[in-house]
Amino acid sequence: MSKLLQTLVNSIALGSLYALTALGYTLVYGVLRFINFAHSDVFTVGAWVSFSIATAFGWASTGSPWFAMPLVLLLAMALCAALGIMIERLAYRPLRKAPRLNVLITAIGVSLFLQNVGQLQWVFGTQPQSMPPVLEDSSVAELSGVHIRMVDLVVVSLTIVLLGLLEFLIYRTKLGRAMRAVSFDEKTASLMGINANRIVSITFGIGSALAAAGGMFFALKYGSIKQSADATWVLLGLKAFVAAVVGGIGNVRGAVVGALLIAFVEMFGAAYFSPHMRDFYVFVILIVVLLVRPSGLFGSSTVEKV
Amino acid sequence: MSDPTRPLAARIAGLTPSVFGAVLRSVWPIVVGFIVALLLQAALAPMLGPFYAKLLLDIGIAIVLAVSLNIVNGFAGQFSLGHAGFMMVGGYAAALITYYGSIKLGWIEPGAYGVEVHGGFMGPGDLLFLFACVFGGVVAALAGLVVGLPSLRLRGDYLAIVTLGFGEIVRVLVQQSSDVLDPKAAAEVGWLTASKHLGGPLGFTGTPTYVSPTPWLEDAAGNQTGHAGIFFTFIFVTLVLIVAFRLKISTHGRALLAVRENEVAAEAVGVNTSRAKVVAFVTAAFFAGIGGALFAHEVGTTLNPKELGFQKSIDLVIMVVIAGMGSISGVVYAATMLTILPELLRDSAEYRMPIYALALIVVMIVRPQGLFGIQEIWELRPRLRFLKGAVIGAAIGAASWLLFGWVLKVIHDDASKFLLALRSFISALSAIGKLVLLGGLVAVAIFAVMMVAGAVFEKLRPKKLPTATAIAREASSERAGADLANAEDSPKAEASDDKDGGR
Amino acid sequence: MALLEVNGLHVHYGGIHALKNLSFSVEQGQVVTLIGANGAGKTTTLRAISGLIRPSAGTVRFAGKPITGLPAHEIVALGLAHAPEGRGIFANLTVDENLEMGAYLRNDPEGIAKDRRRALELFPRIEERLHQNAGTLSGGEQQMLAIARALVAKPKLLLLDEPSLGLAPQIVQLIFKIVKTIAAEGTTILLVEQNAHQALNVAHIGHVLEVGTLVTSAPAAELARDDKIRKAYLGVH
Repeated sequence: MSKLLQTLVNSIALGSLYALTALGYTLVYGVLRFINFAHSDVFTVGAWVSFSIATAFGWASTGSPWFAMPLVLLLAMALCAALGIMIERLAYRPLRKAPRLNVLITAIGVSLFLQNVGQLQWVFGTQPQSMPPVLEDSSVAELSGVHIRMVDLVVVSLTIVLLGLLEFLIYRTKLGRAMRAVSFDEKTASLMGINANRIVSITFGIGSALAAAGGMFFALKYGSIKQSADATWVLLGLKAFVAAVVGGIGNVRGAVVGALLIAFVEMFGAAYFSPHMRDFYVFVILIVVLLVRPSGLFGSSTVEKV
Repeated sequence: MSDPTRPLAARIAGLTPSVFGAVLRSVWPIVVGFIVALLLQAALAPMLGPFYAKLLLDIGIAIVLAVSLNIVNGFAGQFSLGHAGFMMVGGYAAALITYYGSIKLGWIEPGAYGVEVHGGFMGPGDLLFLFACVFGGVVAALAGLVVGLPSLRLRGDYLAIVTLGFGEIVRVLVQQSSDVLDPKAAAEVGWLTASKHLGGPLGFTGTPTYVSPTPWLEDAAGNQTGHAGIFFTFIFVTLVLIVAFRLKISTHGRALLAVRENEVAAEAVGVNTSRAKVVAFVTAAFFAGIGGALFAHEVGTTLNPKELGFQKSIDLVIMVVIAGMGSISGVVYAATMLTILPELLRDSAEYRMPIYALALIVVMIVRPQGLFGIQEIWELRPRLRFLKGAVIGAAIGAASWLLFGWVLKVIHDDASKFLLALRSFISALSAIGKLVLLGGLVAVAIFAVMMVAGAVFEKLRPKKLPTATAIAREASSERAGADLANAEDSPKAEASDDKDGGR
Repeated sequence: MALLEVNGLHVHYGGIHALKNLSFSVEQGQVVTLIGANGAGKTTTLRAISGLIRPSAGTVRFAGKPITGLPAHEIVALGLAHAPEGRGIFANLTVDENLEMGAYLRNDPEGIAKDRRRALELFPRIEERLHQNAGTLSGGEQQMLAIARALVAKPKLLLLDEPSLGLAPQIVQLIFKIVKTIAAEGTTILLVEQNAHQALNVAHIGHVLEVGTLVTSAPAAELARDDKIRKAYLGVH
């Protein structure tokens, strides 16, 4: 019983991490209709940047003040938002009218670039580092053998808050309406006086900031961060991406549901079948969902435009 | 009807069904390929020594893989990110045959590992190897069928994800396999049990290597020498090239190109798009499997699931995309370049991937169709421009290498942190300069080789079939027409109709 | 000075010369219509004016300012509204949200509310469906929404592209009646139509386009009486 509950708790915590990253994939897809392969690398950069900030403040060895976590989080989110906007401006905008395949390949190029530049000695380097504990990692509650960790609690509540804000932004504000309008038809949106490029930049900024949050909490949860081209990151990014696709890419709630689903399958599979097959379950879910519902669980089926 | 001046092959081809005719028309390329492969194996490789012989082998394998990926990515436009998965399927299937097969045939004694079991040029061991390669190809082709079927429902990004997922699934499954059985244990189990012992995460160790099947080169001890399977590799290179060229100039290839350009339009003119796509997948997977089999038996490589992961697929995609999706010779060129460069640049290896990535982005933005587009190198009109570009690049590279190298000498070591950082930055620039220089030189050299090879190939190409240029021209004029129709009549059509200079 | 001046406009689609040296102007308070057959370049003209496509030569001046080559959202900000061909409704937004998109650039809540009320008065059928997804509207309702949305922008110049396209005759009647009302209230309109009969009925000035060239310009009433025009575009033999 306690194993079941513990697995449940772990799944929700992991699912929240996936969700933070999956939201970025889904937002960008919603507006530009392409999969930003480089998004998972912004996630990685987020982890490294928050490590660098925390280290620069000297919180690696000493204990950290209470404001350490929010400060690092905000700085990392801001920096990654800037990075995301820059990527869009330099790499994707010149290709706005190009075939989607070209954009996809460019995104892969950006992804490789971020991974490998991150590995250079004068950037982040190739040594794995341990994340300064800017958040005290303790078990805050224990119920009949089920541990709830501080990090998990923060991640889950932060995800809920951010998701709420995002929903509000998209469905209740002028900016959100503009985002949805651009997503539906960029040309008509421009006839309403919307500067589509600005909307796209903002979307990239938001998505990248969420990825940074995901990256930072991942580093906090697992304590160590590996070099930026390490397969672990790539796989993590891929899973978040799978979550977005399974939920129906372009759909904010879908991304969260997809992330939770993926995390549940992964954790329960690992706990009750074989812990070595975690990635296998995830990709099988992906393929099954895509074959049964090619546009994901919550995606609207769109007719291919000619 | 019978014209005695026509070559026999052509006369027969005129009378026989097209498939048989195609095989006959391929006789000359096969003969040429056979001779070239033999020369590479028996003359060039011993001359170059083991290091460059291995490089030659790497190039051959890269060509098999990249050209086969080009069939599905370049011709059919189905973006696959799982080519390494097919490679892995083929490689493991072949290793299963050669390793456990050799044991069962009694060629590997208990206690012996990694032995040469070829039994002389075209000896029984070599034949087993050839069979294993084809077997690997067939198993991979079956996997291609499995992945090709979903491609009927999915397009673009989604297909890319599914192929990627496929690659990951294969990797995880292989990682779950048990340790390789030693010859003693292996001799006692059946094939089904053996197939569960593929080495897991450590890789399939102990696969036989096929080092020296050269009949007329003998070392002092009377053993035949030479180098690892270059002959076989280049036979498969010949084969994949023939298939790719035949496909490109055939009706079926045109159907693939039509699917790539506009699937709905292709369907409308009667192309069976489902069939076209599945055939492309299966063909590509077959050769990827063979590439994996060759890779598995190479000296100095271990067949392991990490090596053949997502990264490998991406490497192959880069080759195809930079070269130009659809250009066979362009892909050969890129595969060769991108195999040689990292070997030459081991000292600045850390800059390799950032530069590849940048090159990929820049090519996509500046020249979206890739360096060669759909054309073959010898069809390019402004040939000299490419050569000029390579030469200028090399010159710039040389200049910056020398300049920054000199600057580096001028700035002496200093304890100051700023100077240290500056030095490492400048040494990076100098390394990039050297890389560009070498890249430019290699580009010029390979370009020359390709031009000659291309001219020969052109001679061997059956006449009266449309050239790729003609196909491309046709396809692009169709597109222009479609754009116009969209622009005037359907503003709701995707923004891509906006070739007219709108922002 | 004319509100809109188009001078020597050329547009190319790839190798196709879609508009050839087009010049005309729209005066404040006028309703001007461009009529012509399918493919004559009517829609292209509107798209070139509102910045959706870039003309290859020529100038467009709006309210005295050169706007050639500006991005669409900047042109729209100068007080031009374009109800595009095929209506351009945001099907994923509600009807209400679509109307709000029309007022995207406005910052005067009272003014917006006033124009929104007026637009809904003109199109009561829209008001009934405010909270529905716009994608669920019928073709005629979508066209009404497109015009209402353009009106909420309170434009100096309203570009209407084929408001009658694919609609039943009664709806067409209704829409043109409303267009006439809007015009009577002082909105300047540039109307593109294949339905020359209706268009000439509401317009002051008519221009006839044939394969990218302006062939005739005259007061609408005169055009409506012209034999050649009647034969070619009004279906009178």
